[in-house]
Amino acid sequence: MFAGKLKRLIPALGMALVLCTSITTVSAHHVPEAKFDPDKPMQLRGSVSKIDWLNPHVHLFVEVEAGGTTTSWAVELENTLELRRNGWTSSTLKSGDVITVQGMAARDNSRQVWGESVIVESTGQRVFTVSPAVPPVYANGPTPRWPDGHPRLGAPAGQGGGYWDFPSKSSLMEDGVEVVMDSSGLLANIEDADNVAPFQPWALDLYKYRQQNFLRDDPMFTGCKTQAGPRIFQRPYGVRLLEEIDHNRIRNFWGDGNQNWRTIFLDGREQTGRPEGNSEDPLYWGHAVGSWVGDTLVIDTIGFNDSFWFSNGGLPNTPQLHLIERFSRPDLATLHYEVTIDDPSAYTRTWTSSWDMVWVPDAELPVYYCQDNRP
Amino acid sequence: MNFHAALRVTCRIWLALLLVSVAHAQEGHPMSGVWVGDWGLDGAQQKRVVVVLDWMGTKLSGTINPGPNAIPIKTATVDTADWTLHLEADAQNSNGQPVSYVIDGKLDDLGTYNRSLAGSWNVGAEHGTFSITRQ
Repeated sequence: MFAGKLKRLIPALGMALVLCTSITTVSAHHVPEAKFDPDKPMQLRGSVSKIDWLNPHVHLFVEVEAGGTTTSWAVELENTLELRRNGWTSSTLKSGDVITVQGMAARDNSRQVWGESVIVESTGQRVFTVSPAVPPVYANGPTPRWPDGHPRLGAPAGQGGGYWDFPSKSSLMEDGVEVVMDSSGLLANIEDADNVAPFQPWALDLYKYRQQNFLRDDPMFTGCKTQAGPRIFQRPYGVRLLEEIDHNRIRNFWGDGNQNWRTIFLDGREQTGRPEGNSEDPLYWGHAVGSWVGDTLVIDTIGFNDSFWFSNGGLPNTPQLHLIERFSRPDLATLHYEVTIDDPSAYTRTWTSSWDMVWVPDAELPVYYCQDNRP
Repeated sequence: MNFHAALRVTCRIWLALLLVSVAHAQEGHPMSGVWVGDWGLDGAQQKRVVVVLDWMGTKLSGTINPGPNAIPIKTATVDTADWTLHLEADAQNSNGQPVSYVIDGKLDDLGTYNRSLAGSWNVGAEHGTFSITRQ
């Protein structure tokens, strides 16, 4: 009988880049230095054979003649969203245009270059330049509120659009710590690593490893894995907190990554999060329950898996991660975000990090699809 | 189906369940996960091995070949300076005599999803090698 059951069970068991932001370019993907060497500047001149307008980086293919032979080079540029934001399109250049490119060469000596400057020979025009986005300028005002007095975390009454962007910190670091990082969370000085957070030894070594490899293994870039946890509030392209008052919940959307969302329940349900997930606890985002404490929304989240990086810069996290987030809006223009990190498998004690974000009124979230990412 | 055949099927079921349950890549402690590969005596035919390791907050624990003949890992230590792993486990040999395994390996490709561990093992006077990849 045992053997028969096993036989019936057997069929059922048959299932079984070169990115992020650099210091000079506010972008959404891998750190260029992960693939290109700043100590290997290079220039090339050739004619454009093809433009590959895809994330995470647009590529120009250029035919370069030298010494009687022609070689094909790939010039890597920013992502499509960042280039469009600066007025460039896939038709900015045509096949046959002759260009001069200055940039840095690939670490592996392949025929690839990170394009820091692209100049069209026929016009002398410099194309595909990217300027960092800047916060909007408008008259600030008091905190918008719901009829029950709670701060609104989205648009003021009567206004539909808007989102939060321009975080004042680019990566998690314990409050009170002052270390210099770029916009992707890369430390200016690796010696600062052990000041960033109260790491367990293994977590510090892994953090250093990720830093020293320019975050090249970030699953958000290598596999279009979602950002989750506090990282949602430090990525480019902003976040939206859509308050569904009738349902006592908030939907949290973000402009970067793979276009997912998390749900924050405010209806008093119990905390039931678990890393393997359930119907109200989708993998990656954990189970978030919250309530208002005065003018501060307090969110408690557990049940994360460990298939993502919870911070720019590669700070480690484990399935023991427990977050307590506090949102407050002291005025129209400012969202103050504070997160307490309790992950005893990676850190020696709980610790807190906080930063501000800026309200971008009358606008929809930008959309960056990592699903478009070139394999 | 005789007892041994049933045992083999049961082992396969265990392995399938384990692999399904951890089909996602893990980014937490680099040693946590299910590792599958080969081990064997020097110069001899290699055999399949499954190793499950879990970071329990302050220490590693785990099992070799989970299932009816599982070998619990008695000691597991990691030197994160060079990501080397030391394991000790007690088991029985084919004669039912107690034996102790001492296993040392080194992690390769630390940042990748399917990183690998390779090294050597000793049990009494026997020596061998192993190579396993995280699933």
